[in-house]
Amino acid sequence: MKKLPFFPLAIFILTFSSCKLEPNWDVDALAPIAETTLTPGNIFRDTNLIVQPGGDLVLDYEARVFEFPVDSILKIPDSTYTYNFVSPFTLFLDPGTSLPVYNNYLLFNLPDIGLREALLRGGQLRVKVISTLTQPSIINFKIPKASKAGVPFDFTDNVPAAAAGGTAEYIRDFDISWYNIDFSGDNNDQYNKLRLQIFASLPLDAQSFQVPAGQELIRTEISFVEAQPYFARGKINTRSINIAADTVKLPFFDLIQSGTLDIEAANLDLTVNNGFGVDARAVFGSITGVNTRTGNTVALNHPILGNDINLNAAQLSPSGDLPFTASNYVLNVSTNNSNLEPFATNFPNKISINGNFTINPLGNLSSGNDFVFYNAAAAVNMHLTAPLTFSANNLVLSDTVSFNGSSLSKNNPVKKGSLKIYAENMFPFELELRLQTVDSLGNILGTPANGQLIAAGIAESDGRVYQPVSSIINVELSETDMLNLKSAKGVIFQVRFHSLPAGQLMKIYHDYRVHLKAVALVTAGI
Amino acid sequence: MLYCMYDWLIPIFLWFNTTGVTDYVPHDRNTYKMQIAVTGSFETNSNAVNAEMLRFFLAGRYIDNDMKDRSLKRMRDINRLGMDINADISFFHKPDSGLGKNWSYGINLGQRFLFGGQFSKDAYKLGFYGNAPYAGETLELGKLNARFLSYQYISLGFVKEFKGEKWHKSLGFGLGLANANQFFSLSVPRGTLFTEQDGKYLDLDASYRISSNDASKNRYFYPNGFGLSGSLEFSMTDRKRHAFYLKATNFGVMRFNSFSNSRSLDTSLTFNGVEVDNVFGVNGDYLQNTLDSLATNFGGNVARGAELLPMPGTIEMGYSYTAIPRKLYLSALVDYTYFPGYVPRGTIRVTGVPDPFVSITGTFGYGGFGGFNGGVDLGFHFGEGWHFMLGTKSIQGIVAERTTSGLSGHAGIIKRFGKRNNVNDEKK
Repeated sequence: MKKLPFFPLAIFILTFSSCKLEPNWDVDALAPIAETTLTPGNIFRDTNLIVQPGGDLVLDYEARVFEFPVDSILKIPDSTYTYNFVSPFTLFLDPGTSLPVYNNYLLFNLPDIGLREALLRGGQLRVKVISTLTQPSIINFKIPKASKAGVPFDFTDNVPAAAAGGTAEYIRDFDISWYNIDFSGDNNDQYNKLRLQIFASLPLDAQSFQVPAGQELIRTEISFVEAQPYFARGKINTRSINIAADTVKLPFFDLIQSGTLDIEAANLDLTVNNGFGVDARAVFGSITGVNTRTGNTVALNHPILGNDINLNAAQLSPSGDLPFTASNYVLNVSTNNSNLEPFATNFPNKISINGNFTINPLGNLSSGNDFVFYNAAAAVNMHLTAPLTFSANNLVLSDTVSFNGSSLSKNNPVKKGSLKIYAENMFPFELELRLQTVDSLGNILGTPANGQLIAAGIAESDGRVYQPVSSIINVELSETDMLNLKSAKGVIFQVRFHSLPAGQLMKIYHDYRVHLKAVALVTAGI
Repeated sequence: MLYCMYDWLIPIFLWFNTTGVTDYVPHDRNTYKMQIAVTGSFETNSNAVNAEMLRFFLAGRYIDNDMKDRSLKRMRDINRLGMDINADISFFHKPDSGLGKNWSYGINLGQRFLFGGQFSKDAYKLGFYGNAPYAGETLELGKLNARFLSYQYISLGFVKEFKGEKWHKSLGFGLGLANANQFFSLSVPRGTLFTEQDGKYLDLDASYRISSNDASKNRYFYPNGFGLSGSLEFSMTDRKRHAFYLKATNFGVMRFNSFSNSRSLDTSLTFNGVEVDNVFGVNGDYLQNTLDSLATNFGGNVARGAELLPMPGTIEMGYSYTAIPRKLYLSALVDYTYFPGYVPRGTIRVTGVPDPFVSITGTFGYGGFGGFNGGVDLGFHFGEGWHFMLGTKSIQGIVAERTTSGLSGHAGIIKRFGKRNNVNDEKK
């Protein structure tokens, strides 16, 4: 038998087992890749910039420095009260017999306030009855000084009979929202006390039966669950809280890496607010600006530091949306009465405040008429305003943009290229651009752009720039730069601001902007 | 997606030709009762892209600008390009009984890769040079049309011979089944791209549709669909010198399954770059979201569903004249394959048999995926019923690869069994 020739079979087999084409050539692509407009709002991010009538801007930033936790005062903790009726001797119970289970005060354990009155905005009262009576019973609960729309809390219900030797259980939840509760006792001279009356009786159609001495006939559990006061009146105890450090972050200074800034003026108002119906006292020991990037700190100097700031109690008269009128004290810190300028030009991205806030520092002077609303606050607010009139001296704003270069190497076989950035600048600053690629540990891989300049806008005689100045920046991306980009995990984007003319304070106007358009010319392998 | 044979195999095929794959030894036809053939063919051609560039493209070698420039000189407004790779095992039998008098049957089993398309000169510029050299110009990209098919097939055919006083006629028909393996289709009926002089913006006005089989099932032989086709063949041979045939083969449809993907877009837009709201607020998610947004805007509408494509049916008509019996044959044929980039092709062949064991054929033609083509086929008869042949139709692509197109080749071996009297000999 003749053998089949190898060659045609090999052709056939190899044709079947074909491989993918991998063509190979380069193309030069030219395309815009990104454009952005940098406005004053972008630089001073998360900050309100107020446009003045002349078009210039004022930086306006508000933040809460400290807040006294109202919950620590105005809180009725969840609590359960258990009462029972035990047969003192052998009893013969006939239909209509009444048993006094409880008729006394509930005592509330409230360490920071002696309550005389509270209006609840939420909560539940849970009533649980466990009966060993072998006949049905009638249970009656009364809280004479807890009322809603003038109607006291009073309810009566039937409890089923227990099996011989067993128990019968009865549970019911009551919504106690908007109940007004008087905790001052029967004679209005107590605190945190509330009378509760519980009676049990046998219905008229029940059968008589005998109960041995010592047997628990009825047991009741009264639970207050998540009782939330809307308003409370009474005696607020003296309490002092330290104002914690590092409480304020200034996000608009986060970007600033280095350089200096000369500002025309700045104003810092620290408003101490007392919304509690009790006197208060605040003391600021120190206010320190911390630049966490440089590690520099500048302590604020002001005469009020270390001295008491006394605040009167809030008044029970509506103010705006609030049912009370808070008491305020404004501590004004300006460049005239403090070292606010060096404080601000340290670019603190965090302000550390040490102090103390005390409520009712002089004790009970109101005869139990202190009050507090659930939406009241004792707080310290910061309000910083500064005209955007300054001179920047090599002020560097820097941000690291996360970037996954490995995806670029998979999908975009760019070998080399260049980046042309077309800039239209109205800011009276010369801008210097720097781009750096970094790895996952923040190590710098390369610096494709370093020191390219965007010309400053030219101010007219009135100090305002009306026309943008055009510049073109060329960034050559070598094959090494492309390799760095492909292994990069981030790109550091830095812009250095330098006022022109140097040292001259310049107003920043609302229509200032720098428009950047990046056009890439790349050689890509196909 | 395009496919080729292993790189090392390509040079072998460059010397061969696809023309006449199924009829290597015309003077010897019908003299055996049974035939088994194994053949392979490769052809890539264009009316504009030079052979050197096709060769480098297929081999994955770097195509430099000089090479691109040489092809660019030959570009016209609309250009064509194609590639056809086929491997086939066939069995043909004329039984003495069972099918009836003068009936025979044949079975084919094979694999085919077929790519073809047409494109504008500007599309070539954009694809091979990029848009940067043409900043400030508008590139016309419309009328771009391309398709790639990969399928395996099996066909069964029957032929009935009619022997008359003057003419020996045959009529055949066949049915084929295809395993639809892979496809890719691109159609750009309208498209212009303007790049601003400095690249500050791009103006794109385009309508396109791209479709392909399930990308996750791109393996050979994977059944991404199926095809059905039919074939008809008629031939007449007189008892003197003339032979004529007409074939319509492989006409049918191919259906790729509902996991096939398509993207379509009809838009006119100006791209100014990604708008970054705040360069100091950019994060990784923003960049990724932007890229996703770009893909959405430029990538068109994505759809998934079955795709119905015509099979690459071929019509072929030929005439053969026996100038000197068993010595010299002249033939002419016209063929057309219904596929993008393919135009009717005419071929003239001259076959000489200087020795009973050797045949030499020269071919000259125009059309198909390319333009003018010249080629050579060689046939060898070695041993009883054994034939080996190889050839190329595109010899110009080898001798002048920088100025002409066309790379092709075929090879095959045939074993025939059961010799009987040749019809022409019978006449004598």
